[in-house]
Amino acid sequence: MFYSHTLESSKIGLFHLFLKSLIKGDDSYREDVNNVIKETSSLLNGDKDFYTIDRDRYPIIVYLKKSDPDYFKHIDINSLNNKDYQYIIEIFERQSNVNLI
Amino acid sequence: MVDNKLLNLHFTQLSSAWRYSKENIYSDAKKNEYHSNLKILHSKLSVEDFSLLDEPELLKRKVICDFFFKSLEFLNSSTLNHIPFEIVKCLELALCDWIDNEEDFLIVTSLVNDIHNFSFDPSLAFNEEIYNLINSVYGIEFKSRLIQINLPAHLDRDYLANVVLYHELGHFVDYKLNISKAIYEDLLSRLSLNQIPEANLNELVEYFPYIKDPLLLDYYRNGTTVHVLMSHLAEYFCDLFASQYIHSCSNHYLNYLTQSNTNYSQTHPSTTNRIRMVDTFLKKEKSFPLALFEHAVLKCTSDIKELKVRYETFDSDNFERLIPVDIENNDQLHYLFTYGWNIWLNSWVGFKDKNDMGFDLNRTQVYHLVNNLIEKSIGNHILVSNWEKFSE
Repeated sequence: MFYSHTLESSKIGLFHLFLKSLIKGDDSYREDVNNVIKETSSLLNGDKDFYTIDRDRYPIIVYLKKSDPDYFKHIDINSLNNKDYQYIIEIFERQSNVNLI
Repeated sequence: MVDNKLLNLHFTQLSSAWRYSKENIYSDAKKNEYHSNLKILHSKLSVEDFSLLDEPELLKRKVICDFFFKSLEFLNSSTLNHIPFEIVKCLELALCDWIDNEEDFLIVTSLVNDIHNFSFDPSLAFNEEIYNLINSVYGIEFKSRLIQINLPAHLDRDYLANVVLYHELGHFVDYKLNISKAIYEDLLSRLSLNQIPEANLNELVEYFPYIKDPLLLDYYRNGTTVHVLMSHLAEYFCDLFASQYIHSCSNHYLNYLTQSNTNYSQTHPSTTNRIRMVDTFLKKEKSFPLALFEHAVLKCTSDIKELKVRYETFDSDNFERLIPVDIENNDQLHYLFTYGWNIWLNSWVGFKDKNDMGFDLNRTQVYHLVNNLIEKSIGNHILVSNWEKFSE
């Protein structure tokens, strides 16, 4: 059996929750969130490919890449801040096909 | 939106389930440690007043309750008295071939009341976000991840049917190494750029009959996942993965269950194609679809792992003489299932001839004999291996 869709939804939903907690000032999710954004940027800029990106975060990375490739291609990964996190939250909330848990 | 009263209901249900599970006894330290963490987690949740929490915090508790329930679902069937120890041991050995940090994972089984339900549930093995969440909220660190495999409760000691579990372990390896998803992206990207030669495309059509449908590329370009392709790639990979250990044994069972189905479903390729893919691999024949998997396995493991036959055959008439086989190494252990299948599928006259019986064994007797002898052979090998390990 193939449960990928359910797992993807769960991972994306939790990532969304982490972004919201981060904006509220809970710093414990910063590293995890930033790593996903960096991997998305690496995938779009050709530094990594589908065989080499972080496998545990794969569904989130691919989702972000497909949702707004321009944004993640040009994002400054060295100075990620609340404005970026807020923008990504809005990406999720714009998509009606995403089940945020 | 998480309703406070509903979350209280959820937690009360959890506490009720925990009451029956909290005294579980397991056969190994890692499961005990996982269980101890659940105990701490339950005590932390117990003292919280959910009415004081805001929406994101309520949502976190809901996710944690779901995680807790899911853990119990599998741990309850993995206690000392319930876990199908011998088959799990064989799967653990196969896992070691593919995962470097295998000590971080625990194979657990849920014995389900559904005769056809062999499946892998990835929800606790690949959801690092949940473990981060629990660590962040309560400071509890789960060191092991559960590899959750469902199998029919009635077949937990049926070693002929349980060859299917190698396929299910393949799903774990597929998720872990990201093989079928990487093929999916690579394949659709090359298709959209017209980079696949016509001859190769025609080979693909045989295994993925919808691959030339223009709608497929439209979906891909719009960012919609083509689930049928992704599922079929995963299933083909798992069949190939399993055949490395159990030859074509699962094909016997699959062919019977699906009645040699020539049509594909949204989740699974046709049985005829699944069998053909495995046969192509086992006969060492070349095909473009097979090469996709071989190439991806190499790329996803930095050229360290490859698809290859990983069992070692042996010649023995021990089962017909009603004694277990002396297994010399782990590769032979995997072949034991093929050996058992060969006995089941062939004439049973050897039992009578080699034991001077004056009667034929009936199917029930042969069924129990084959299964008991496979179980004893595995058990003996584990015992001897452990003995040698500890006496070094």
